Amino acid sequence: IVFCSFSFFANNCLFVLRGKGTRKKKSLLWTIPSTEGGVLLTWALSNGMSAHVAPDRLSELPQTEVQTVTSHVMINSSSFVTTGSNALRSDAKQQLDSPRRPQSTTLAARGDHLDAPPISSRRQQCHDRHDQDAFLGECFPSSSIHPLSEGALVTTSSSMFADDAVGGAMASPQQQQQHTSGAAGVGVGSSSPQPSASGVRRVVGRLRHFDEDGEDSNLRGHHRSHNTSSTAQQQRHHHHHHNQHHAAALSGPPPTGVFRTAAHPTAHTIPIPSPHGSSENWGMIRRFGFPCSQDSAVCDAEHHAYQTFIAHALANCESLWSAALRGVPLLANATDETNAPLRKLCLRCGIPGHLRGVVWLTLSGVALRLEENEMFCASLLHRFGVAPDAEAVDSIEKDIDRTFPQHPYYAQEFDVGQAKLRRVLHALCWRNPMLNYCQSFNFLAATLLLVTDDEDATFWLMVLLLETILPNDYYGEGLIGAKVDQEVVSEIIALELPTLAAHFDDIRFDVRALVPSWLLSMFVNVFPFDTVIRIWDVICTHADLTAYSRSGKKFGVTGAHHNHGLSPLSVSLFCAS
Amino acid sequence: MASASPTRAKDIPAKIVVLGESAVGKSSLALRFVRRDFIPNQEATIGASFLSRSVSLVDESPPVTIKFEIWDTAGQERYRALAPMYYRGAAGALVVYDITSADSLRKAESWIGELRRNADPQTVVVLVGNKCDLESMRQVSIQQGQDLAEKEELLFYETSAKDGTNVDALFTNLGKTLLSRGVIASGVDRRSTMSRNLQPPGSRTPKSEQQKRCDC
Repeated sequence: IVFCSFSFFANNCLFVLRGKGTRKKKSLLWTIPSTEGGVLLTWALSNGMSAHVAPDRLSELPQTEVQTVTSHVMINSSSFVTTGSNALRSDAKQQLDSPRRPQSTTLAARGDHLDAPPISSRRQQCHDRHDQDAFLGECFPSSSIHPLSEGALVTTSSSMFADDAVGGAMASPQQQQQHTSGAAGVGVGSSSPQPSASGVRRVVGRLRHFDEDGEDSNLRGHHRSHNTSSTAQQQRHHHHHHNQHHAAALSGPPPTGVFRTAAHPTAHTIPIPSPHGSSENWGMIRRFGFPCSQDSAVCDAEHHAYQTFIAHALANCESLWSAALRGVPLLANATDETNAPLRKLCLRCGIPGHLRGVVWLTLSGVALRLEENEMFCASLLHRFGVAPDAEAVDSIEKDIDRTFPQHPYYAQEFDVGQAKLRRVLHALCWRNPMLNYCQSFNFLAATLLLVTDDEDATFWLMVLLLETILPNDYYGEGLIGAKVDQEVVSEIIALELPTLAAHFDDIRFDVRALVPSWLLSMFVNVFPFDTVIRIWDVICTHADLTAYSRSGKKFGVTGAHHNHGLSPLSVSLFCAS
Repeated sequence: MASASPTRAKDIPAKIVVLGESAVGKSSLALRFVRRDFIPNQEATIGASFLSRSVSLVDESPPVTIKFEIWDTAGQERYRALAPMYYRGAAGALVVYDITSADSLRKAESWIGELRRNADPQTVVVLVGNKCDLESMRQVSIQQGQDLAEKEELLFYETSAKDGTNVDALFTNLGKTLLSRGVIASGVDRRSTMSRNLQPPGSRTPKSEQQKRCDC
């Protein structure tokens, strides 16, 4: 029984989130701040859920169009199904007259020597832990430039995962320390004019819990308490709540302590990355280190959702991953065989914060490129200097200050993230002169930097996004790819959500107006950062399906989809439920 | 606060689009008006964002409430390709430049040209010189702005999203102008902003009526 269906779009595909009644507990609940992006999504989801619960409720849903403060989104953690519709894409492409369509935006200079050979030719079996440690050392010759090595070591260290429960408890207590910092601050400044106080109260009121069998009320008793974990093990560790933003501004514990401390938690030890250090792992922190919303109602809603719902799912996810990663080769040593179960896990529950960087690099195949092209970014810039186009340089400078200014990593006073971001963006201009710099690269690269904290990893992941995952005209002059997707999304809505389409029609609202801001930034600043990163978990880890499409079969991509030229992104997201 | 109240039947919707070069303060201007707030490093806008606020014009007779539906667009040159969707059918367009950047005024001129060519002829265009709190860094004099506005028959304001100078005045007077020119009218239903057909295309905007000095 489909409990709820439909959610968000990416490129030319429509994700359909499906959950079954029996799987209610695996659902994740996220609160969404008042951004225009969330509205449609939430409306649709509420629509779907209400249609199941009580069809009458449909009429209560946002009639006040876009300004309605969004309430909540349920993301079923177990099944992502996408229905790509490439016929639509090509139709739309024909409809658009595209005289200015660029031929190809990839650089001719993209020589083979820059690209790693196919995975198959580079298979290395390296199950032994010591070999792998040694390998990681080679891969990241200087740990000061690649903190991921720290995380990678952790994932392969048997002592860390001697007990599943330890692994499971590893991240959760830290995440719980961040409670006081409140709610999703990502969508700041986005859209709703409603100053949220009233709206969010509605949100809180509307938060529905899927565990209606009493679990909710049990947890509610712990609301705002210090020991909120649901397992006895976690409750043994006492932690203080700290305001993340404030704490991060102070110097944290030594960078190397981040993972080790996590393994042996002691009272008052808060492994918060130092903004000056080289081993930030923002993924271990609530909201990725973004400050909480200024609106306390939003903070409360998020806090509550976390306690009743998300903490549970995260702990579960954590233990699944610790089991799945035992003895599995990572980064450049990974093989298709070892990657396949990890990919499925990505779909199922996302990736725990402290593993995300390593898993992205492993499953996207970028680790191979990184190994092939050591210090690529730095040497490129050393050789050629800043970006060739003065206008691009100007735009980059304008945007650097305007990229996640509220995040400590990009706060001007520290200048760590900004310097790295600047170098990545300049290097990308050299890589792809046709694309040059397009606003929104700043957000994409900044997001990747938060996960990887490494210029080269970010650079190659960006290359993967721009050259493999997204159609190569997506960010070109005239934004033709984005315009095509505007058409596609509105078509999909008309087909899949006739009620919603009729409503938009009724209020004369053109949904195409919203699409560019969602897709060009790949949902960054549209959804709360946690939700964004959950989507990226799927996108980044399923990219090589497109480059090596034979493995698409594993994920149920039918020949028909291939024959119709389903875009890489949708292939990457097409997965059997 | 007017914007917090739900849409009432008598609210007159007015679609407003904000255009201009990147980093001139388009988003800040819109946010200042809608939320009365200013964030120093406003995040770059990707695509476009939507905001709205209702404003009551009590000195009209009868008093009316205009609901400004503001589309705040991205400024980078490449995003120009997306702009027609936002200015099409707009009742008003704010073309924003930065008084500390002569370049942004040239960009504003090209936006005005594009609006003249492609937008609805009755769209009321307002030329806005933003950041007028940065007097010491001024590169564009008030006179230059006024000259351009007179030449193109636009409304003209110098504003500061940072301290709020002229922001409310800008929107209030824009609302009055929209009413007086019949671009928006009370009594029409709310879908009217998307499909207006009230005046013949020939009626051009009259000569610049409002020129306000920045008093900071």
